Amino acid sequence: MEQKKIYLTKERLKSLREELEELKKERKKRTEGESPEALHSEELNPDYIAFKEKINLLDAKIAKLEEVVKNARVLRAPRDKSKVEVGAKVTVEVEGKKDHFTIVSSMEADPALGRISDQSPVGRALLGKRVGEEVPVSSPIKTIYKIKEVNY
Amino acid sequence: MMKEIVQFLRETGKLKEMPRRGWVINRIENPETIGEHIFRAAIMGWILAREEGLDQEKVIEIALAHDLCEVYAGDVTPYDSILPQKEEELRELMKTWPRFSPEEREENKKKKHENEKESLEKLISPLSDSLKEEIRNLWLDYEEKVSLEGEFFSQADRMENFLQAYEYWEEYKKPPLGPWWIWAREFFDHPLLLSLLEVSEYRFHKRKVPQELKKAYKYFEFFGRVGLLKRKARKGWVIEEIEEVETIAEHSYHLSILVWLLANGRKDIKKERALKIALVHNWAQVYSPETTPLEKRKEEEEEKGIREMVKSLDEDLRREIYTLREEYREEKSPEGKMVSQANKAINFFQAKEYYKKYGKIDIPSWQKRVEKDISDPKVKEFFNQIKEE
Repeated sequence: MEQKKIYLTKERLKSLREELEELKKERKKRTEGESPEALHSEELNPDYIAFKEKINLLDAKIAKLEEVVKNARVLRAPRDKSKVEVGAKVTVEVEGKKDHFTIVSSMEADPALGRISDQSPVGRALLGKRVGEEVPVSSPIKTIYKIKEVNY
Repeated sequence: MMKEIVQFLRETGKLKEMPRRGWVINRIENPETIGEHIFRAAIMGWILAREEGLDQEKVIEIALAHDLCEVYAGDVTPYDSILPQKEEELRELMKTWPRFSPEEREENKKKKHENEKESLEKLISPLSDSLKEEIRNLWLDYEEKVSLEGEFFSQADRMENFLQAYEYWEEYKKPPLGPWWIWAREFFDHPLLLSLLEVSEYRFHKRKVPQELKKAYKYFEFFGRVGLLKRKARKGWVIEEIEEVETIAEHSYHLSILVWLLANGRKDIKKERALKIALVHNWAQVYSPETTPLEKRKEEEEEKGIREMVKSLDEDLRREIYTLREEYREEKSPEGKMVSQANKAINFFQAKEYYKKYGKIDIPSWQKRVEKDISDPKVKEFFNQIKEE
C-alpha cells in the first residue's frame, strides 16, 4: 500500500515514540522467559495459541506504531493561524449546531471523538479555509460548515 | 470443552433475534438483526480486503468478532442519549445528525467501550484461554484500529451500515438520508470506501455511474445482492411451520462462528478457507430455491443462481467462489467436508432450539438423518454434545 506522510504535533510524536518503546519492552519481557510448547500431541497446544495471540497483538501494535513513526512529519505552526491546516482545532456550525473538530492525518482519525481525517470529504473541504468562511460540502445533499474558530 | 462451545453458540445465536436499534428507532418494519449485519459485514470485509491486498482471514475474523459483545451490551446508536418521548419529535430528530461537546463525546465513547468490554468478557468467559485471547484481541483490533486490517474493517463495517440505510431508503423512503450523508462525509476517508459512497450518490440522483467508478459500482451491486439473503427465510424451518425462522444470512453468520471455533488449533484445516466456505455456502439461494435435506437438489438451478449472484465480480474471484462451493457440495477438501458436516450439525442444534420453543419438530428423525453423515472428529464431538443436552 502507498506510504502516506502522517502529520503530527511534536508532543504527539514524542508520546507515540514512548508508547512504542514501552510495547517493545513488554514484548521482550514476555518472550524472554520460557514459552509454552507449540504441539500438544496431534493438536496445537492451547497455552501456546493463547501465548501466540498475546504476542501477535503486541506485534500488530508495534508494527503500526513503527509505521506511524517512520512516516511522521512534525507539524509546524502555520504562519496564518486563522487558516485550517492539519492539526487545527476547528469550531464549526452545521445545521445551526456547534461542533468541534480536530483535523488529523488518516491514521490518527477517530470521528467519534471529533478527530476528522484530512482525507475525508469534510476534512478536505475545510483545509485551507479561514475563520468566517462558509464551506459547502455537497453531493448529494448540500451542507454548510461555517468556520467559527480555528486554534492550534 | 464442547459443552462450552455449545453454550457459546447458544448465546451468540441471540444476535439472530436482536434487531439493529438504528432501524427500530427509525420505525423500519422487520429490520435486519445484528447477526445479519455481521454476515454481510464479513463478506464486504473479505472482498474489499482482497481488493486492497490486506489479510483476508484476519478481516473476516475481526468482522465475526466485532459485534459479539452486543449479545449482552445491546446495540447503541448516537441518538440514544437524546431520544425524545414523542413520536413527532423523534421523526424530526432523525432528520438531523446529533452533535455533542468534546466532553460528551469522550464520555459516550468511554461508556460504550467499557460496557462492551464487560459484555464480551462475560460472553467469552467459558471458552478456552486461547479462544478467549483470540476473540478479545480481534475485538480490540477493531475498537482501537491496531492493525491495518482493524483500521480498514472499522470503516468497511460502517459502509455495511450505510449501504443498509441506503437500501431501506430506496425501499421505504426512510430513514431520512440527510444525517447519513453528513456523517459519512465526516467519517470515511479510505479511497475504496469513498468510491462506494460516490456510487450511492450517483444512484441517488439516478445518474449514470462514470467509468472510473465502474469497479466500485460492481461491488456496490454485488453487496446489494448479498443483502437479499437477509430477507430469505430458511425453507426447512418454514416447512416445519416454525413461526419466526432464521434467515439464510443469520444461519450463515452462525455457521461461520461454529466453523471458526471448531477450526481453532487444527493443523489439517485452513481457517480462512473454511470461513469463506461457510460464508458462501448458500449464496445460490438468492436466485434459486433452497432445497431441504428431504428434497432432491436442483443442481442446474443452483448453478444458474450462483452465476447470477457473482456476475459482477472479477473472473479470479468468481472462480474462487465456484471452487469454494464445489468443495462444500462434494466435500472435496478437508475444509469443504468440515463445513458441510458442521452445517448439518448446526441445523440439528437449531432444530433442538426450535423444539424447545415451539415443539413440533421430530427430533429423533432429525438426529438419525444427520448422524450418519458426520465423520469429522470435531464436528462429531460437537454433534454428540448437542445430542446429550
